[in-house]
Amino acid sequence: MITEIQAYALGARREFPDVRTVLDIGGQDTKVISLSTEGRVTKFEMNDRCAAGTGKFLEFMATALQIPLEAFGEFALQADRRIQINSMCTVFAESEATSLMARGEKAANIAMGLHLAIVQRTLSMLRRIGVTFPILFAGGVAHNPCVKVLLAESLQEPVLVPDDPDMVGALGAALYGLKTG
Amino acid sequence: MSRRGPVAGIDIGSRSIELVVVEDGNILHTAKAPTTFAPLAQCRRLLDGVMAAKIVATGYGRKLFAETRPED
Repeated sequence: MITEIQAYALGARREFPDVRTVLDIGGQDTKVISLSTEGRVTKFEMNDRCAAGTGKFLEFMATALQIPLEAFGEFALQADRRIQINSMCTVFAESEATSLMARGEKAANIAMGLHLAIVQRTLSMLRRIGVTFPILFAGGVAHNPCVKVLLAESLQEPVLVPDDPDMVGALGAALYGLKTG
Repeated sequence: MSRRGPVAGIDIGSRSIELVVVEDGNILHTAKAPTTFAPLAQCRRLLDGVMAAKIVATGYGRKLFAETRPED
């Protein structure tokens, strides 16, 4: 048994051996991990107390806008302007989205605003631990192209996403098993 | 000092469970299932037919899983 932090650190280094920062946005939590050049965990932060800034937030909002979750990122990328959603809270952000709809805002623009909100929240976590590049993005939300694009844009660096971003933790756990014999 | 035989890693998250089986550094098998309200049953389903000398659990549900398999 190992913690998710260790598992993600091991799995991430297997995918990209030079990785120094790991971001995992899962269905119900977000974690950021700093690694030394040797791959040792030097710092981490985890949000597992609130749905805001996690996959659950996007799932909830996709449902509210009646867009399939898998298509939500592409949909948001069709936005023609960037609006700011001020509420970080999942429940309040939904009411904000609903009132924007009522005012005639395009659904894609609202979707973009919601993606910007999740990225803002992620960036503040990353800033707290300090980002060293390269950065790897894992977890189910790494399938979302809009989150990836916005992160890369804000960080002004490429964001590495493994072929199967959901599997990083399980891969790390298995590698730990091999190592410990 | 690598162990002989396949090793499984299982990541029991609050929304989904992922399984990866590796041997000598190669990935042999991957699988995924939703966590549901019966995570241990889902783990058993994922591990059904999987040959592994050892299973390492991680994620939110790792303690629950480890309690059922004290040998790992």
